[in-house]
Amino acid sequence: MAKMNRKKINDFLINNGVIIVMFVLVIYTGFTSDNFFTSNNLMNILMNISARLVIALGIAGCVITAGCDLSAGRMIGFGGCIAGTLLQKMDYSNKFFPDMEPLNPFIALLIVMVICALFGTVTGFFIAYLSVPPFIATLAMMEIVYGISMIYTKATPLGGYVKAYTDIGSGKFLGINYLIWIAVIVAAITWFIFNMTRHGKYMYAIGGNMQAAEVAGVPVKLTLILIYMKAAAMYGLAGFMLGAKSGGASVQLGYGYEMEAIAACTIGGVSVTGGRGRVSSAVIGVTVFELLKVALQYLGVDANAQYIAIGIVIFVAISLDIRKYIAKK
Amino acid sequence: MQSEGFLEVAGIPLLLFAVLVYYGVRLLVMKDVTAIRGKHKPPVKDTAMYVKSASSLIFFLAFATLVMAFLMFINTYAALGEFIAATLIMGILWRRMEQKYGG
Repeated sequence: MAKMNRKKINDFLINNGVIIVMFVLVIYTGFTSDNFFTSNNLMNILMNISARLVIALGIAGCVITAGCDLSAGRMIGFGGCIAGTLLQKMDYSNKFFPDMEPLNPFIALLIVMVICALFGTVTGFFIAYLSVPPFIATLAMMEIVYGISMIYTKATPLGGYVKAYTDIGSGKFLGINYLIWIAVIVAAITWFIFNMTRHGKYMYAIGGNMQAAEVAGVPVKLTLILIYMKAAAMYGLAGFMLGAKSGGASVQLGYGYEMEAIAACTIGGVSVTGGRGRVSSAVIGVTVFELLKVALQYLGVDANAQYIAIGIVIFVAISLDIRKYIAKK
Repeated sequence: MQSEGFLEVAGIPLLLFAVLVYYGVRLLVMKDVTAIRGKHKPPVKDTAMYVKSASSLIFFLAFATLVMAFLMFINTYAALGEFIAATLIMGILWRRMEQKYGG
């Protein structure tokens, strides 16, 4: 009995080692830095988490089906640029469409999400119907979206947004920033899709064993297309949020975010081997990952060394995930 | 043009080129089809032919990204058109290969 308990504790420590170490690091940072445990810093962290959580929730769907989506970062940049061009002030000197009145931000958001979703549908089609491996299909889409963004924006940074748009990044409701509310709503919708719908169950079935799912009558192809479509729409939303927060956008917006999101999902417990992962996994992963970045900044770690630390965390998290997979087998 | 500017324009296609070459070589040398297909798909009918065809297609796409990287400096439309065409061709050929040699 004692041996079993020790084994359970060992497994728990190994499986959650990354989270525990990061948690300790955060506590240490909090007690050694003056401004870490302040409401302002907490709000900043939550605002940084919000857009990243939306991206991670999109990618989580792909990862659960044993896939990935490397086009996320470029899609975010593209989404941010589309939103930016539609929401510039009339009197802005470098206005992208000089004669066009700025749209309502919600209509612009809808346009952004629909356009991104279309690209996601194409990616899903390549994966589902042409059997192209997800990493190749999404890498190709990343390149295509990058090219389209360059053509669309002429590689020019965008700015001069209308107040209604920037207010989404700075405004508050019940003392909490709108971006955080958006992330909470998206997390709730995603939880509903993952747990309460047939689509969610199909998703886990495909990730667990695609062949068995197909035999069991799961519409694998359609489900895969829907997953990549939904994910791309979320990247569009994230791009819109990041544009509102920073008050500007360029094709470089969101660069590298896909890797961070995949890493965050893995840290939280979404398995890269497929079939496992929850909304809470993405939430935990993104939070822990963001806290690590902020803690490293507070500890005065060199910016380049931070990349090394984050890389090590990703490496360890994925290794532990593979260990779990092997142990399960 | 400075290296920073060069990487800003062609960095992504070059990165994609490197990733694709890595997977192509890995497939060709290690004959590890699971690296491409994942672990849950059924075994392939003819591993040797699958490896040969899949790596050829991956190298084809890698070459297309390299061409795109250079075309980006001349004409972005041409670069994008070239890459979309290459992706479509690769997708269709991949499907045929899967039907022929896949599980």
